[in-house]
Amino acid sequence: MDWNLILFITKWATIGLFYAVLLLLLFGVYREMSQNPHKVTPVKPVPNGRLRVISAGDDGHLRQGSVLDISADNRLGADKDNDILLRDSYVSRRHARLRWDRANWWVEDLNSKNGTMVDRHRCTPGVPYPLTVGSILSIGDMSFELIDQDTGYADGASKTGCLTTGGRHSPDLDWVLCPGRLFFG
Amino acid sequence: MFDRRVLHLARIAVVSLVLASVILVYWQTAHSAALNPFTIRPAINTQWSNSPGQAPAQADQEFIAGVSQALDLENQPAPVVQRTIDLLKRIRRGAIYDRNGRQLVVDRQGADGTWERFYNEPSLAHAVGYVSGLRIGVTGIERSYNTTLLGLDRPDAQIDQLLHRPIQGSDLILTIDTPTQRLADNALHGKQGAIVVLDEHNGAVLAMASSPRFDPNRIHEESYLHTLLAACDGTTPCQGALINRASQSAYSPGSTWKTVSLIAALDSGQVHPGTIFDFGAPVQGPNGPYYIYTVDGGVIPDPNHSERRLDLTMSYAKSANAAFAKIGDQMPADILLSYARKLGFGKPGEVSFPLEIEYTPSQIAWDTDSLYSNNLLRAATSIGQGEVLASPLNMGMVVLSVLNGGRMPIPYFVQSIREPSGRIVEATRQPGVENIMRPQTAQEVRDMMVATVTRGTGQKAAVPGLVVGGKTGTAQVGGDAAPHSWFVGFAESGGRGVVIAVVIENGGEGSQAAASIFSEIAQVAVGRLGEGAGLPPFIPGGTANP
Amino acid sequence: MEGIALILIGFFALVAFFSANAGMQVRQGLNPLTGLPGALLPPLLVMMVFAVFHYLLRALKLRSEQILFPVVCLLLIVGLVMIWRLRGPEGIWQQILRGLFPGLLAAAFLVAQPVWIERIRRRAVPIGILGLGLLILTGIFGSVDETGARLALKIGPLPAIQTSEPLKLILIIFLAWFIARQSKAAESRTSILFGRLRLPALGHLFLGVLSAGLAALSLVLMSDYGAVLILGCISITMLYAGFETRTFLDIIAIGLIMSLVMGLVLSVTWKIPAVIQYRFQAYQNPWSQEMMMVDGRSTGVTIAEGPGYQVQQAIYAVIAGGISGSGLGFGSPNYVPLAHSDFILAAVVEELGAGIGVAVLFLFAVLLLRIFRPIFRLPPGRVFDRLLLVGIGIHLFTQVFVMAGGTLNLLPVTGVTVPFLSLGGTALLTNLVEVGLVLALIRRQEDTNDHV
Repeated sequence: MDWNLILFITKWATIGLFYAVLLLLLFGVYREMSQNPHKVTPVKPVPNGRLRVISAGDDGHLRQGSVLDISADNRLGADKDNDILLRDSYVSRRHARLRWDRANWWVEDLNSKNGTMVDRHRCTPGVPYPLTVGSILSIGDMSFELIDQDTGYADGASKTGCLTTGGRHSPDLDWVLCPGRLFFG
Repeated sequence: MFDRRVLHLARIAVVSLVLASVILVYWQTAHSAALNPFTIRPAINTQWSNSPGQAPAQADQEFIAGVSQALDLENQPAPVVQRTIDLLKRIRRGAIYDRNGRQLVVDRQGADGTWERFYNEPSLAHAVGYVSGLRIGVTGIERSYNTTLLGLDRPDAQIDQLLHRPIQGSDLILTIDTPTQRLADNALHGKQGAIVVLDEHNGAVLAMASSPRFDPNRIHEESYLHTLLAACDGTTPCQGALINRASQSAYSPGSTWKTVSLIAALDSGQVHPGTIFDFGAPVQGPNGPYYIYTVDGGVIPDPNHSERRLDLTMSYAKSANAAFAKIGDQMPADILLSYARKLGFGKPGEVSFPLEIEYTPSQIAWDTDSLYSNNLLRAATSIGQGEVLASPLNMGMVVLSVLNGGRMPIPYFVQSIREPSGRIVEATRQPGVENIMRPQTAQEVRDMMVATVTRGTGQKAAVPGLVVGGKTGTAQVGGDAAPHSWFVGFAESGGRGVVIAVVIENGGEGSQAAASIFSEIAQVAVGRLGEGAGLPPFIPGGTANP
Repeated sequence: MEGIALILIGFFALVAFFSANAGMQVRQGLNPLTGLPGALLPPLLVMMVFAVFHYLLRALKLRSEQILFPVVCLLLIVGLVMIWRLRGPEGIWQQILRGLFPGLLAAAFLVAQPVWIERIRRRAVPIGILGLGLLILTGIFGSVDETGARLALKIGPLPAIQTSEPLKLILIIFLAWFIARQSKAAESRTSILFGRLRLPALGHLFLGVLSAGLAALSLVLMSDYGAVLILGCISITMLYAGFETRTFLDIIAIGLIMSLVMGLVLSVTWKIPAVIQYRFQAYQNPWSQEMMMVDGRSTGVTIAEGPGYQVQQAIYAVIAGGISGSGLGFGSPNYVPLAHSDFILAAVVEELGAGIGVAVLFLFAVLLLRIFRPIFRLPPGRVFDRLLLVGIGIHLFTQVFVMAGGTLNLLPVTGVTVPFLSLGGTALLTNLVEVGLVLALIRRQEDTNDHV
């Protein structure tokens, strides 16, 4: 067996396979670009904000201080088909609706039994009520804080129940005040 | 804004990577020759002459410098040397044979698998040459046929190279005849000088000896190089063992150069064989009477004959200085120069031939313009003194042109190339120099050369049973040193013949030392030529793939 | 797409390892099949791990990025083949066990739990302090290598860590966090004016630049100039990307003033290190027969023999390769110093040819663009995520370019590794974690888009 010839062939096979992968990947890039050329910039409105759990009520699935990602339109309630499932015993099956209209957040009480509160004001059922960053949304025994998407945290994080100095320290420095958070959520 | 800045960054990055790719391709294309191991070849261009102005010691030292440069490769970057060695390990250099199939040079494999070169015929050291430590051609035929010997001019070897197979170089079959070569080498034993034996019809080199010589098997040893150089400190005369005196030397040719003046004068119609020269009254000297020729106040002595009147044939045969001084004096410089140039003589380095070995071009004068104005120089040049410098090989080529009716074949060594497959390829032959003289002139000169041996100064060169012609030469070297002894001539029998040029340094009269060596070699060489005719019996084996 | 690509890469890996092994054996005059099982085990194992990772990505429904992972796989295989060829089983198993497996494990974890990006972001400051601490520890307790620099930290029975490698990622995370915080504030807040020079949020900027400078300074003291260069490039590009041009120029001005002050302080005691001096001499002419000068004194070694030697070797390796290379196992890349790490590109070009050499550089360009791609799709506002992507992309790119430039004498030689190719467990681990971060970001973004 002429190994020199075989190795010459495998040498070119190596190069050929390398280029085969390369061309395949380039083809993938090309197909992706030709299929959705306008998808480079997102067209969907993206909600700007998240909910931080301030009080979890008796819902064992949520923890104080954790953050919920929310979409542009959310239904809140105890039923399983809700976008955000709240298992507190004071929460109605269909409790409230939280919407983003590309500018502001609105909350609307859906005729709940125990009502919905924004910054301690009870909302009239069926009437949307605006929320701003830092607003506290209370549903049943649970309460949430609306926080900014990027810088992440509204002022007043001291409400989270850690050691507080009563001042306006940055939540990014929470770990100084709450060393436990360094390791647990 | 953010997106645009990121796009800028991406663009810069992609352009940088493209730049790196371009530089990669740049190194591979623009500098690829730098790595090619077969282009590493030191430029060795040395010459040696006995003329005042260049000491042999200096030339030899230059030569040694060139060799050591090739050996330890100080000027090559380390990576080139390493990679060249890697590449050459896989190549078996071709062997070299003489015309009878005798192995002259062969590669043998050492215990560690590397190839080593052995030279079986040290007397051919100058012509065949040797390879450097990197097995790259340095001198002689090893140099001019480097690519062939490495096999890299063959497509199948190039394929082998691609496939990383071992490569077998092609063998060379030379025109050298080892018995003749040894005879020439023996004749020079203990003397300094050179002998060239050529086939009279095509210029094939049958023997080329130069003395003193060196052992090419030991040339890599630094101590051996120092021994060769021992006397070359500039104060004592240097042996110059590394110089090929047959082709790289520049001797004063003495009377042998009268052949060139004769060709010029006869062919241009200045004289004819019957022209009579009257030398006038002789002058009395301490060693008896001698003739003189006076030109522009200068005197050229002519002690070679006693006759007052000689015709051209006998003037040549008896080497009459006065006759040739007169021819030179009266000949226009243009005519002399045009013939001399065709035969290889010009300004230093002006005329060269496509030879397979190192060759120092002969010269007629340091400056050819002076031949127009200086009549004395022209007269002295015509008798082979003046500023004329020649190598034995070039003088032999002059005789070749006479024997071939005015056509001068270029001497060659490599008869054919044998590829590892067994295919034998004729070596490409250089075209000769045409129309140097009319055929009639050539015949007349040839007759006069024969007359020199039968009736003139060259009688010692005669060989029973052969037609022999030639010219003696006694080149004065100045001082108290004995003159260089020259004989250049031919010997033939039954349509075959050889041209032999002999020079013995400080050998005395050309009619004595050189002429007898000529006859000794001619006797054998013509017979060997008969035996070597046709395809040589070839001994394969020893070079085929093991 | 990804699956087909991985199958082809698998074939490539098998053929490449087969010919590398056979080539090496043939060259030694042995049977080409000697040691074949040992040669085929690493590629088979690695391909299996790749397949597992691929199925993980499919299970997690990461559909929008099918190119990035195969590109990384292909580069990894090329690197592993060269390491096998240059360093044998010892080198390749070190690379696989210390770099590839833990790296892919970490990447898989990040992709599965993208929320960890959020957690990392919130802990940017402790992570930064941890990095500096590691650096200082290395400077004090690190093991000294042959060049006299302390670069590796060895803790207990664990394998040594090249501290500067994770430090680069830590700097990226820290800067991304820092700039994301600052950029909005810097552009809105009123600033102190010195003529045209605006000094926005001076205190915070000072803090940021100071910490980056501190890291660089420690590396200088450890004489790891390659890492300093990479850190500098990452910082500058991230600042450029994160801030408005004017703010960016202001920061550069602050940086210049600070380095000028530091330079003045240092110039009393500190000279340009000799290493940098003769690397520059070698860059100007690697073949130079001049003597190497340090502090005006000759060292008795020519540049060609000293620092120019490795550049020469690299260039001749590149030249020796030609278009298609010598074939695996048939070249002489071992002549190049550090052919298995810093100069692995020279070894790749010598044995696999300029064709693959250029293609590898091209793959890195594709990789960079794939890392940058999500930036244009992320919702506006997620500055941290974007800066993380910019930092990671630029990190990989600068390492490749610095080494490609060093190999081809386009830049002075700086000792850094080539991502995914070079031998080096910590470096590979860091690079794979970066890939994991990118994939996790893409996954999180996909989820957000799906919800709307």
